[in-house]
Amino acid sequence: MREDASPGTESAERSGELTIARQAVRAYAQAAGDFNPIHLDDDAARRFGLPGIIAHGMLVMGILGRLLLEGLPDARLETFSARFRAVVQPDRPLRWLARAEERDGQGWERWQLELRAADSTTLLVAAKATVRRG
Amino acid sequence: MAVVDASRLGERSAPRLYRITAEAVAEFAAALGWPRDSFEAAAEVPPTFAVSLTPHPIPGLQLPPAGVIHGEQRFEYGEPLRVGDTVSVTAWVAEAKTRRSSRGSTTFVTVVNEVRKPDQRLAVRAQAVLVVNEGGEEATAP
Repeated sequence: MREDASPGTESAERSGELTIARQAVRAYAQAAGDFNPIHLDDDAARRFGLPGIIAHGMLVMGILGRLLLEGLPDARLETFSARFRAVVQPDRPLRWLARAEERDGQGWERWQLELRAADSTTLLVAAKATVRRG
Repeated sequence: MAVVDASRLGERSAPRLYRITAEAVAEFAAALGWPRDSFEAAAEVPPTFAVSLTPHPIPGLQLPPAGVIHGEQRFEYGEPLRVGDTVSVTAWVAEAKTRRSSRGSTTFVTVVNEVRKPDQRLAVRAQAVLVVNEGGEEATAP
């Protein structure tokens, strides 16, 4: 996995690029115990109309959760949800964005997260999180 | 093959017990790109860790071996989950809707998974919408 986010002071919007390597998909299958062949075998994936193996939705969501929390060291998630809109293929450059939608001054924040192909505007995954700070 | 037996909606799977080990958490976290030592000792597990705590078979649910698409996922968090915790996992089908067309049928199955501490306090409630395509000449996927 390769990614880079702009470090520095906390802001209401953070973004970066990442690539999910084929090996990362394999490692996630092992760690999560999800061996659905559409994540491991190109031919099996093609039989289901896919372009080749795809990343697990939960791998992608897990990475988005990490990217959010890495920027919010004192945060605790209250809810975290995602819609998987299109398949995420390994070894493709991706762009993520996290934006604070609402801050109420009492420690609650709502964040919206998006994952897109780096070279396109097509939304692959849309996620939301409610966090409690401090 | 029916994916869901509608008469068994809401029927809970037998509780499955897990002890959350440092090894399992480290492997899961590393697979998401967290540094290996991020979740040592008292740290909470990664937010999506509950998906690795698979339940016993869910009453009335028969998913095909491949081709199930994960459409949506939602987590609600209660008590913190940490390495060393013993938890009980139960799951059930909350809802199932089937749309039929000339190309076959698509079933949207909502599965709820609850992870509870030994005192029954809720740690994580995970809700998944799974999309199952059946019939027609070929399986379809988005």
